[in-house]
Amino acid sequence: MEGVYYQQKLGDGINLYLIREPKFKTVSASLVMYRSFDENTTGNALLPQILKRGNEDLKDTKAIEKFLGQRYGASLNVDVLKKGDMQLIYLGSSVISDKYTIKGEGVVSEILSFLTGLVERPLIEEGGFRREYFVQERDNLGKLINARINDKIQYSIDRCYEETAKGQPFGRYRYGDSEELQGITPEGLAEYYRTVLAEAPMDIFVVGDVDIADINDFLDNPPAFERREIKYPGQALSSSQHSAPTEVVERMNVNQGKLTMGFTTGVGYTHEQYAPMLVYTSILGGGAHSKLFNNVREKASLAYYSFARLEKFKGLMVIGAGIEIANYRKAVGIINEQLGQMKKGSISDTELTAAKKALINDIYSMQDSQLHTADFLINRIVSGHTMTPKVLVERISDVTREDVAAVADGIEHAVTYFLTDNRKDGEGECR
Amino acid sequence: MMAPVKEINMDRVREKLYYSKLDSGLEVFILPKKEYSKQYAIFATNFGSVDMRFSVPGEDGITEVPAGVAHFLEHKLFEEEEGNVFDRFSRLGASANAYTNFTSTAYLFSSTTNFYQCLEVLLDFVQSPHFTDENVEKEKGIISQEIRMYDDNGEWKSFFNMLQGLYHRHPVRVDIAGTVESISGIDKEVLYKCYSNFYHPDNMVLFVVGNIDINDTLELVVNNIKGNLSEREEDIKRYYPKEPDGIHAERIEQVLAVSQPIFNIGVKDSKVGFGGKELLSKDTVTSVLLEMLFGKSSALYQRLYSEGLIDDSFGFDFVAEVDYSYSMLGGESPDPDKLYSIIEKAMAEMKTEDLREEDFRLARNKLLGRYLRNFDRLEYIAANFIAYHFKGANFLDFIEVLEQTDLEAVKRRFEEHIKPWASSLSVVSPQ
Repeated sequence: MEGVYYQQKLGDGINLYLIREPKFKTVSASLVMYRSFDENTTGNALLPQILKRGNEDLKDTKAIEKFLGQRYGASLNVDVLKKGDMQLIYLGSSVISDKYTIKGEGVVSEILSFLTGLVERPLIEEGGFRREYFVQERDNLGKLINARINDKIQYSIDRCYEETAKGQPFGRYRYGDSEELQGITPEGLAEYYRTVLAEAPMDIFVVGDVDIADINDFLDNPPAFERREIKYPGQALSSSQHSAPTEVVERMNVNQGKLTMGFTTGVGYTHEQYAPMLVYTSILGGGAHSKLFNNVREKASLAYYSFARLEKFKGLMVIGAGIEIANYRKAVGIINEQLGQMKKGSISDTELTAAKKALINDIYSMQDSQLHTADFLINRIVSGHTMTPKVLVERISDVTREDVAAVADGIEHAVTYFLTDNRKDGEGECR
Repeated sequence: MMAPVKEINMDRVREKLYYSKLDSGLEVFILPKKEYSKQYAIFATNFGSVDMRFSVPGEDGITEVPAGVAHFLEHKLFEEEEGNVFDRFSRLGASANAYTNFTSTAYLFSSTTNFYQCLEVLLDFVQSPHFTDENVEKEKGIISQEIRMYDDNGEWKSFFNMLQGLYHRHPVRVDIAGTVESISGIDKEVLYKCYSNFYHPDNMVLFVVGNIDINDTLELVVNNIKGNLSEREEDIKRYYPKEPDGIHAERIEQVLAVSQPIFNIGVKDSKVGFGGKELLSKDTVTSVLLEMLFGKSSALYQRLYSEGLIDDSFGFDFVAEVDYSYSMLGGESPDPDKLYSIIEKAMAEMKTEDLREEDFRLARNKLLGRYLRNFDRLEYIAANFIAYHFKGANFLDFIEVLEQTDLEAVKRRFEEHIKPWASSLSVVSPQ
């Protein structure tokens, strides 16, 4: 990154990254542990939910909320992230900078110790996680897994990716599945968590108006749990193999059909053609300047939204549109026409320039967000690439029409996924 | 000619806000944040979905328009004789957007280069309507799909059904985009009529934040406000039906394709009819109160969470407009009726003595932290500044008002607002 940047090893496979950005009034702290998608995927998703409930020092939500409230209402967010084939256990907090506290008292260092304390000293009773918390969070995760159908747009995108990467680690839902969840016990999960603590690489990212001196208290007492051999879960990147396109239809009681098409591109985050691939996706469906927006929405009035998006770790692309169910064939036809135009290199100067500028605007804007700044660093770590935002901007600026046409050749249609209503009559059928 | 500029110091957040009112009546606010990469501008009119009956200054009688006009107008303003406005922003590398809510319509862009040209485009297109029979018809297909998209959104439906439960007649109970039927009655005449009334500079505000120069910005604005419009002597009058204090329906249920019930509980606030600092104060006091009653440290939250009746999707908010106001809770729950009965009972049985000083301080700290956290997001500052401005209040006074809030005010508010008989339950349930 371009900002002031500091990296320190805190322990075996544990690193702290500090990005000093004086413009922010708050400090964002993120702690991640890296795992891969495997038989413990659902367990990985459950872990942060249990860890957030309390530890040996702060035993319940009330104690935690009091601690956070006394530190100017610092937040606590936990989740799992999906970065290609990697699953990341995430605990984060945002707190006001020491420079804005009423008496100038230090809170950032305490928040860092709090986050690592949740990870380091979980509430273990009789060899397992505290039963009460385990049961509640297991049930909540079960509901969360089922609730994925509630957001129809995101659900359709996820399902399309899963179909595109069927049988691969990436094909798994980031929160796991109900079946795996049922097999988890407080004792079994605690046992597994000891392995995670011993071998998972861990990084802490701090972004905000922080000097290294502000967090000396934390640095003097870094996490000190027992580590074994650190196991890096490989790289997040891997490309997807192409096979003949398949069509998947799912029925629900919906008003609007969600058309989603998945593609393999052969170009991922570290590929030398990554910048042209970004430009390709932007011209096709990256906003109001794109072919999909202008043809599916503005010209044909078929949709309110229509976009193309890149899954950079897997080299996949997805196209989405919310349409009247009866317009399925018509929409597919218009989308295919746009893909054809891209392949022919039928791209205007305006489209090319607009796409490049939009991407560059996004990259610069990212630097105004603490979470995006941390996310950019995480992406670099999981993919092993070393591109700075500045280099990426330069590469995007250099992309030519020919470069875009060259990546277009590698794009192969893999899946058409259609979420449609329950009617069985001919109208609205997609075959 | 340079308009006089007023400097407003905000010591607590170490920012300076600059204000100027032009002869046309347009109010301009500039918040320089030089260290940011981004610039962000919002040009907004005090015209939202609830403004369906109004007077036009200088004309007799009341004008009535169909539901969804404000939102429809927002869509159409992006259309120009030659192409659409998005293209102009795209060429400059900026990203443009707009939103319509109950009380306002806002046009915005975010840029990292070419800020002044972008601002010129923003001012130009919002002042240059181009409605034709053909382009109005075309938009109906797009907006219909937008409405259909929301029809499948359980949270959105639950929220609007709650408003229908709370309100008998006030147009806040009508969907912002209207219905597929109501928008079919919209033509270019009604759009022009609303445009000339509500898009007069004296009914609008411009808020600019980010890496900008104050004088250059102001000069550009002065030179780009069109024609010789001067501030109208009469205000626009808006007519809302007389709304009873009581609710319209105790319970509304709808079936959708969701995994488990989604709920909203609304509590109607009958203390309405004022704006300004008094409104900001009511808003702040009520927000502290809700945090004390339903926040994570509250006994009620912990009980509901441990009984599995709420999960991390649970949230609450207070909405304070001049003419209507309500508190709401929402999330997913396996048994919203049981949840509702517990909350109703708690509201009925709770006494002001139960509101304790320690919890009050904690809640106030949380609100302070949350506010400062959001202060790092330019979009958030801009959107909220605009919203409060149209209510006659300054969003940037929040910390001051918060610090003046005491427990006694919270207790009085509790007595006044937390009434089980003023509450309503909305449920979106699975089939």
